Amino acid sequence: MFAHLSTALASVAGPGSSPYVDPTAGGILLQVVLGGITGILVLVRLSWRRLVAPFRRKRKATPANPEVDSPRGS
Amino acid sequence: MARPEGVSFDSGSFKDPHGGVFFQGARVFRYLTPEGAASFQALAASGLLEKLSQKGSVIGAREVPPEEAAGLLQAVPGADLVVEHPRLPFISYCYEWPFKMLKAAALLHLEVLAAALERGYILKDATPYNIQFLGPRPVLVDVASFEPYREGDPWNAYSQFCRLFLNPLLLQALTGVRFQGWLRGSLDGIAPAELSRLLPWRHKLRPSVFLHVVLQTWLDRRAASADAADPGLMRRKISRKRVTRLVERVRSAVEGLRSGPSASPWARYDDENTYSEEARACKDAFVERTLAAQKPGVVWDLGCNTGRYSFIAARHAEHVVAMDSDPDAVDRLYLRARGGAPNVLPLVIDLLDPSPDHGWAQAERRGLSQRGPADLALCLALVHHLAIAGNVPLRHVVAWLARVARSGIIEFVPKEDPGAQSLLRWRRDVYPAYTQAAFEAALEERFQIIDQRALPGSGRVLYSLAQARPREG
Repeated sequence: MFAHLSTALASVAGPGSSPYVDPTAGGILLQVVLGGITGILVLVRLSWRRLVAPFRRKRKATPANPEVDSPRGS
Repeated sequence: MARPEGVSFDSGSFKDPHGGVFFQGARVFRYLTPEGAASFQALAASGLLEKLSQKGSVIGAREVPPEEAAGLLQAVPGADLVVEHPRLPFISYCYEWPFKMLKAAALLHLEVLAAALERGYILKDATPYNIQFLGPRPVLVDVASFEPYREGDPWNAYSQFCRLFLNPLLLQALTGVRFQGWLRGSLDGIAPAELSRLLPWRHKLRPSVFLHVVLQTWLDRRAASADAADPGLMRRKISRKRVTRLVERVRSAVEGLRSGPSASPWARYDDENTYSEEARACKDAFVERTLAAQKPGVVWDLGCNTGRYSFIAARHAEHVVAMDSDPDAVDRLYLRARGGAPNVLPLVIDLLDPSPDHGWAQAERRGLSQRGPADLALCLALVHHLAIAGNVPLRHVVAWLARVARSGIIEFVPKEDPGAQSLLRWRRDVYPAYTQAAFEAALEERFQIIDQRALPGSGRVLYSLAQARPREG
C-alpha cells in the first residue's frame, strides 16, 4: 500500500501542470475530499510528498546514503 | 438534403452534442438527438419539467408532433425530436447583469438542481448562459441540461458553477471589484486560482471561501498530476446525499453574499437631479403621450438610470429593456422591477462600450446592436454624455440610434445646461459642433421628427422620432 501511495505521489508533487487536465478536476477531487474519513485519507495522500519533504532533505544531507532521493527516484 | 425554408441556427448553441436551438421565422425550436430525446421524454414523463415550468423556473417546452416535426428535422440530420419554446423578447448575458441579478440566477440554478436531484436528475452544466431574464425574473432556458443522475456520480458542473456564478459574486462581495468586465473578458468565468490570488487571508479563512476557493485551487494543482498517476481517484463514487449536501452548502454561500453599499452618485440621480417640477411634469407627459400613441412592442431605455422612464414605458410597451452603465443604479432598478414591473429587464450596458460579438467564431455571444432593432428607443438626458463625455460626434450618435431602433424619443441637452456644464468643468470645450441646430440636422438625416417640445425653464428639448422614409436614388 505504501509503495502504491509513493508511486502515485511521486507524480502528484511534480512542479509542472498538465495542460490536458480538465478544469473540473479540482472540483471533483473536492467532492471526494468532503467524504469524511475517506476524504481525509485522500487529502493526506495528496499532501504526502510535502509532508515527508523535510525528512527527505535531512536524509539527502547524509553522505553515507547518497542514493536516497536521487533524481531517478522522483 | 435541402434545409426547410427560413431555418437558421443559434450561433451560441453548439456545445451540447445532444441538442441545439434553431429558429424558423419568429418561432424557437430545439432539436434533440436520440440520446437527448430519450432524456427529454423521460424528464417530461417524470412530471418534473411541467412542475418547474409552471413555477416559472424553467422555460416551457412543447414537443412538436411528428407530422409537423418531420419538415423541421430535415434541417438537422441525426436529430430525433423537436421541441418548441416560447420566444424571449431579448437575450441578455451575465456580464450585462448587476450583482443581484447574477445572484438571483445562481439561486435559481441551485433551486432547479436541488429539485432535479430529488427526482433522480442532475443538470449536466452550470452556466449563466443557460439562464435568461423575462423582465426581472430568471428562467432556465436549456431543457437539454437535465440528464438522469447516475448513482455515484459527482456534481460534475460544480467547478463551472464556481467559475461562472460563485467566484464573480465573491469577487464583488469581498473586494468591491465589479465582475461584469471580467466575465465579458473571459466567457469561462473566474478560475478559483485567479480569485484566490486577489483575496486577502482574512477572507480566505471564511469557511465558504476556504472550501470553494482555497481548497479547490489547491486540489486543481494536485489534480494536474494526480489525474495522470491514478485515474481511479477521479472515479471514486460520491453518494447523491453528498452531492445534495454540497449543493445546499453552495446555496448557503451564495445566499449570504451582499454587494455592499452603493457608492454611485447615479443610483441617487432620480432623487437629486436638477429638473424643476414643471420641466419634470412636462417631460413625463411628453414621454407618456408618445408611448401611449405608439404602443411599441420592445422599448430600449438607453441610459435609464434608476428607471423612471422605463416604468412609464412599461405601461404602454410589451417589453422594456432598461440599460445603464452604472451597476448600482441597475441593481436598484432591478429591485423596483421585481416589486411590480414584470416587463422591465434591467441591464448594465455602457453605450460607449457596449457588449461586442465574441466567443467562438465571434458569434457565440452577440453584441448589443445584433440584438435589435427595438421598436422604440428612449434617449433621455443621454446625448450630452455620449457627445461631450464620450467625444462621439452627434451625427454618429444619431446614425447608431437609427441602426438599433425604428423610432425614438430623444432629449437634447444644450451646452449651457448645468448637466452639460458639469461635464465641461474639467475639460476644454472642443465641441463647437454641439448645437441644437446641428443635432436637428443629424436627426433629419436619419429620422422624421414627428413632434418636439421644449422643457420650460431648462433649454432642453424633447423630440419624438419615426423611421425616415427610404431615400430615393
